Amino acid sequence: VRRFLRENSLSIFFGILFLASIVAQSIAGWKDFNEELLAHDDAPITYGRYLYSSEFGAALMENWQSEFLQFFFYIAATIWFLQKGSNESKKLNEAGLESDEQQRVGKWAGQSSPKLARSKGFLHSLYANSLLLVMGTIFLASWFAESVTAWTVFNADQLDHEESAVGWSKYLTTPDFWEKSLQNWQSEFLAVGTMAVFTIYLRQRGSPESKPVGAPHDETGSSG
Amino acid sequence: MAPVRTMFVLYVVVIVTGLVFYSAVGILHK
Repeated sequence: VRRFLRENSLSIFFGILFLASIVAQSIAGWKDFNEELLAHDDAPITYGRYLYSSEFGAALMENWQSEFLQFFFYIAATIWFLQKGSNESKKLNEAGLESDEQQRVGKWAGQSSPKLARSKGFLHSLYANSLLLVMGTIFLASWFAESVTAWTVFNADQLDHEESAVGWSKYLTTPDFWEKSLQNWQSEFLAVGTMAVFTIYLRQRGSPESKPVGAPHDETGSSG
Repeated sequence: MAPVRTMFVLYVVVIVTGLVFYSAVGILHK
C-alpha cells in the first residue's frame, strides 16, 4: 500500500483536490441556486436534486471542456511550434513528428514497447496519436454536455421571463453559449502561453515543469 | 513490475461517467 501511494502520489494528490473542490463547489452552488429560487419566490431544492440539475452540470462541463481543449491544443501545437529558451518547447531542430528511431517505433521498438509501436498501418497511427485523439474527444464530449445543460438552464430562464424556449441548434448560436465557452478558453490560452514564456527565465528547483536552475536562459527544452 | 493501470482506469471512469451523466441531465432537461 505504501508503495502504491508513493508510485501514484501525483494522480492521487490531484484526485483528492478534484474531489474536495467538486464537493465544495456543489455545496456553494446549491446554496447560491436556492438563494436565487427564494428571490424569485420559488421553492428551494434539496442538495441531492441539485447534483443532477443542469445548473450544476453546466457549471462543471463549462470548465471541463476548456481544460481538455487546452491540452488538445498544447499537445498538438508543441509537435510543430517552438519557443526558444522554454522548457515547454522541444529543441529547435526537433520540430515535427521526429524519426522512427527517436520515437522507438517499427524496427526500433524495444522488448517492452507497446505492441502497436512495432506494427504498421491504421492501428499504429491511431495509437501514435492516441493522446491527442482522446483529449480532443473528451473536449468535444464535454463541450456537448455543456451545450445541453446550459441550453436547459437558458430555456428555464427564458420561461421565467415569459420568453419562448429555443431549440438546441438555435442555442448554439446564442451569445450566452459562446460567452460561456470563450471566457474559459481565453484564460486557458493565456495560462499555457505564460508557461511557455515564463519557463525561459524563471525556475523551480526540482520540478520537471522547469529547466534546471542553472540552465542558461536560451537553452530550450532541457528537461522535456 | 507494479501495475500502472489503476489510476489510469480510475480517471477514465470518473471522466466518462461525468460526461455521460451530465449529457443525459441536459438532454432530459433536468
